[in-house]
Amino acid sequence: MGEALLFWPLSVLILGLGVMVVSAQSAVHSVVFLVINFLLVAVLYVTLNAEFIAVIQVLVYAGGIVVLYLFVVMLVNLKKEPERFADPRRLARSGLVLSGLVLALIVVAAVSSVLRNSGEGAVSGELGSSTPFVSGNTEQLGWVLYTSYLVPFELVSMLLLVAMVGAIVLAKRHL
Amino acid sequence: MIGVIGVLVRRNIIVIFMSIELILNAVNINLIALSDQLQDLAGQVFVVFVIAVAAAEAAVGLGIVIAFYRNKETVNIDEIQIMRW
Repeated sequence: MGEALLFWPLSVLILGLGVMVVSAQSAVHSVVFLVINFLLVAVLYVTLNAEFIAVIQVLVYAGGIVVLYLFVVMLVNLKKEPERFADPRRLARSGLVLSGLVLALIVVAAVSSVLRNSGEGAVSGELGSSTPFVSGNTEQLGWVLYTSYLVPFELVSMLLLVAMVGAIVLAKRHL
Repeated sequence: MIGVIGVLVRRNIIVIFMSIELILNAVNINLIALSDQLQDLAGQVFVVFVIAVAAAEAAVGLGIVIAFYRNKETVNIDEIQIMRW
């Protein structure tokens, strides 16, 4: 039940952000919506018992690919200046709203953590904080990846090497 | 679905690449959901491969975009007509 409660708003947000990625006027806005979309998809992976893939999603997509997109947008799209930012009040207002949201988030997180600690204080006191949390998903995935799928794994590594060399050669100014 | 519409509708090639990433993300979500349903880890292995291939595709595609922009000063695919060296 809780999973469904998380799933439906998440999927609606993901789909809406996808629409906004496609329909945004400026490419920079598209990239920002794409980052949020990738992070929400990572949350969806966590709810689907794929923690390792969620971490990989955040690292590779939100960390690597989006930075690549931002660099290319910076290099390419320098012509059109957005006129809406000429109004200084707009930035101030949106900053106020965003900082209020962050404050509310911090308050909610603090209150919920305090409540949880007061509830589980007796249990966690005898276990101690040194108990390691091992998911197990990463170990299983690594086992399957390095035994049954060893040859495709090596092929993918070769593909990544070739793509890296190719991208450098393509983007280089003088060969 | 949204990604496919984006590929078809938009005329900025960078947004088209982002739409392709959206399509690959949809595939990944489906693979992981099925892997969770069937209790089979092969889906997640495939997702790792898809992410690797998507990273390679993004790198090479954006390299092409940069090289093209340096020559033609445009990212509009209607103006990209030549395919000569």
